[in-house]
Amino acid sequence: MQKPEHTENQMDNINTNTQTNPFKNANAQGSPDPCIMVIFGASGDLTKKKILPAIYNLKRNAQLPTNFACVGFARRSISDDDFRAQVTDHVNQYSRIKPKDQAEINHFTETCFYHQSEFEDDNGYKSLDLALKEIDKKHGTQGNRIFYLSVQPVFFDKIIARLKKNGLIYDESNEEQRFSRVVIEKPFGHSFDSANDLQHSLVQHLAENQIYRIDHYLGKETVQNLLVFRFSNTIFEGLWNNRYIDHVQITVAEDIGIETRGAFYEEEGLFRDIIQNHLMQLVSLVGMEPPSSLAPNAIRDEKVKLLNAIEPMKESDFENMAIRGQYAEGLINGQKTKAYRQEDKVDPKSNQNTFSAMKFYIENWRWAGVPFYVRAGKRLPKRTTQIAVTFKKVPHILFNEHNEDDTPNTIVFRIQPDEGTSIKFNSKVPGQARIIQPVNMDFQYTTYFGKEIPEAYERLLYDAILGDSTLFARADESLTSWKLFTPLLNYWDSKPITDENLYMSGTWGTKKAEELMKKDGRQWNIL
Amino acid sequence: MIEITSVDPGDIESSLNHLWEKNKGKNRFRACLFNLIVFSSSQKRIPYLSNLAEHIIEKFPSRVILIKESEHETEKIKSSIANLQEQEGTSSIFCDYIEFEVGKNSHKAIPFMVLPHLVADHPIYLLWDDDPLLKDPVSFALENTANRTIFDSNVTSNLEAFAQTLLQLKNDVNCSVADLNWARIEPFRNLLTNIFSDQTHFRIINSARELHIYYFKDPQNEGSLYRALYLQAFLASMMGFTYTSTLKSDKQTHIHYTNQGKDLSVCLIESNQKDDNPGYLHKIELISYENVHLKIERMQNNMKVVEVQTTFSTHCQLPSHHIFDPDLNDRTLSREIYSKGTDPYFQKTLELLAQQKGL
Repeated sequence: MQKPEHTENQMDNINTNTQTNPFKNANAQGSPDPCIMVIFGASGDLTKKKILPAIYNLKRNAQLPTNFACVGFARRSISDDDFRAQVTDHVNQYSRIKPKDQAEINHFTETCFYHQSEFEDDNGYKSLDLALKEIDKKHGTQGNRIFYLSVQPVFFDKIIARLKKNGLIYDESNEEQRFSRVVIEKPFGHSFDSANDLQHSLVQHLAENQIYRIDHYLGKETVQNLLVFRFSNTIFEGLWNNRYIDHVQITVAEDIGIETRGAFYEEEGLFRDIIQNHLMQLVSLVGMEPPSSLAPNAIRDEKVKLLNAIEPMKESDFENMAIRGQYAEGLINGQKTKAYRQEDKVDPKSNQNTFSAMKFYIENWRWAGVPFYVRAGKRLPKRTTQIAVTFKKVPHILFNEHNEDDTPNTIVFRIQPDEGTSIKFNSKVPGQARIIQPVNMDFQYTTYFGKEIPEAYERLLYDAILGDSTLFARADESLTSWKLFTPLLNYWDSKPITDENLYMSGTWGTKKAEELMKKDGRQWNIL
Repeated sequence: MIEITSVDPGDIESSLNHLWEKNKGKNRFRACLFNLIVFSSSQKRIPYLSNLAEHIIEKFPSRVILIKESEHETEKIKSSIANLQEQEGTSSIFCDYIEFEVGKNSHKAIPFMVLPHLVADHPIYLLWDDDPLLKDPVSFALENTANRTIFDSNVTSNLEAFAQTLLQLKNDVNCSVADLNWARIEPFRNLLTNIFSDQTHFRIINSARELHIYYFKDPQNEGSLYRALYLQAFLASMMGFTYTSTLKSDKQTHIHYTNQGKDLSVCLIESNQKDDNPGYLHKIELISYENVHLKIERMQNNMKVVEVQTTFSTHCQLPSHHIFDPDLNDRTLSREIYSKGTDPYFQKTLELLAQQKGL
């Protein structure tokens, strides 16, 4: 093997005792440190459908550290081999890229292990510590730990306290320079008070930069592209304000119902599941000011600033500016579907919401007077997430055949599916008559880049391993969002769902949601 | 010839994508400017409507969603897909085509089938080939969604109520409306507009005493009468004539107006003449108080040619001839479908027809 050629100067600088390792930054994507990822809730749906397939794909793409291991932690008593067999099944079923052969999947599962314990059993954590140290020795993972809590929030504190107590979570600055990080899934609390309590309990054991709050929307390529679109293209930023924009509307629609999450939905409802977190992340990315750098806190500071500028709703506004709904029977894909109240583990008289729509304003120089309309729902006609920025109409209509206004320009970000961006503008139809027709200039990810888009969890897990928290929610982001909406949620919790709140599955929500925009002379985009 | 493939309703989008993937690299461009939804409860009308849709996509590639009604009462919904070529055999522009067959009296399912398959953020044009007087909530749902709803008054039984319904729709849901029969008389409207834009002829119509419109009866519907009604209402609304009464007899419809204190009698006459062109308006006669006689008539030996002759009490003008190309018919119909907004002349005509009792 030939030695690499170096100049004299380079040879002087390559000193293994210096803090700068030239190999560290040689990879444009970053070089992750060896580590073990322990997944609490290893038998849960999220683990099998998202987390394990994501780790597999990172491995496939050589994005995992060379020295990496994955440990599943759950209550059931199974062996390492049983767990590996399960991992194989999950990857075969849910991975966006399927393994070509058994050897390929074996390379992955050979570093997967299983640890059985109850979440509240101290002995389980002691034995976990021993097991992880054994893996460190054999696989060179150097004591670095990532604990992924794919469990119900009620277990967060219990697990983290025991991890800390048993030396599995280190102090932020420890002599050995090992890291330990905890990844938690939303919901981060149920209300402002509970989110605050959760935060207090977390910071007793962890520093803020050891906490990685996953909002998987932030891992989507299309969501990350919002910042690139806004801040790397001169032509748009100059128009991105209240002088030119008429309104912004955001829709997060699913055609599926609550499926097996009846118990969860009875507790949380759609607003807590989607709007308080995912949707508000989209709002903050659309509305924020340019950050001074791409450092995690520079971006997150701007997002929090935006959230703080949202005008809180007064109780007198609740009925007019916030709508809730619950799906009734209907028809989706030609199949009859049942009502929410007929789903498993749902109270037949449930007052939970499966649909919400809202209007609010952002009180700052950029956005004053521009309404933001947001809606999300289950059992809507199709699965789609879309942001539409609609511009104001021209000040003087020249081409007004039949006294119709020109169609306003719109920039649409298709978050999922059919990921891409389109710009709608008016064009003359060839011919004698002056007919104006709106047309779309369209960019599609798959057409242009010609390859599969990575799953959100792949990006997020990779960043957690790298230690980059940019795409994770910070405590104050979550708390600010809770502060805004807790009064509304309390108001809804105190009022029963009436017939007016019901909507047929397969339709776009309640009539009141339609009127929310209609009374402003606007309408929801057809999706 | 379109190759239609049956698919499960839940697989429509994936099947369409698969169809495109299959034909990748074959110089095909997938285009869509708007969503065109076509509905008919009459199986007999489907070929006509499909043909119309194909003419539309020649000018405006669009996703076509055709919904037809089965002859049987069934809850099962059948769906199929295809790629429509802009100009069969020649163009590289292709559009998505989705076809649904719903059971008789299962209209309620239609919005649920259509909504998921609308191309996002594109205008929606609804060609509703049913009588809007027989409304059910389904058509409302789609009308609320559509930017433009196009009807064909050939299928209605009452033009007065039809006009009222369209006006109400336009006002209630802010959806532009159109009628294919209005498009069908476009050649005559254009011709009359050209004629009466001349001051001499304007004075003739302004002192009109009688207006006769002759039409050949369409054996299948009242379309030809409706087109005659549209034409007279068009002229009346342009001139600001005041409607007074309607009287119907066996093969004639009499409508009375006043204009500046003078009476004007309009007579729509079902012609007895046997003809290969049922449904045509074939002659218009206008007689003024000054005994000027204006005649606009299709030539018997060539119905495409229309002769215009004006006869004054002291002299005659030489006749002029104009071509009404039947090939233009489909293009005018297509244009009526994809035009933006409610034609203000159409709206004024509807407003007048909505007052005319007993149509």
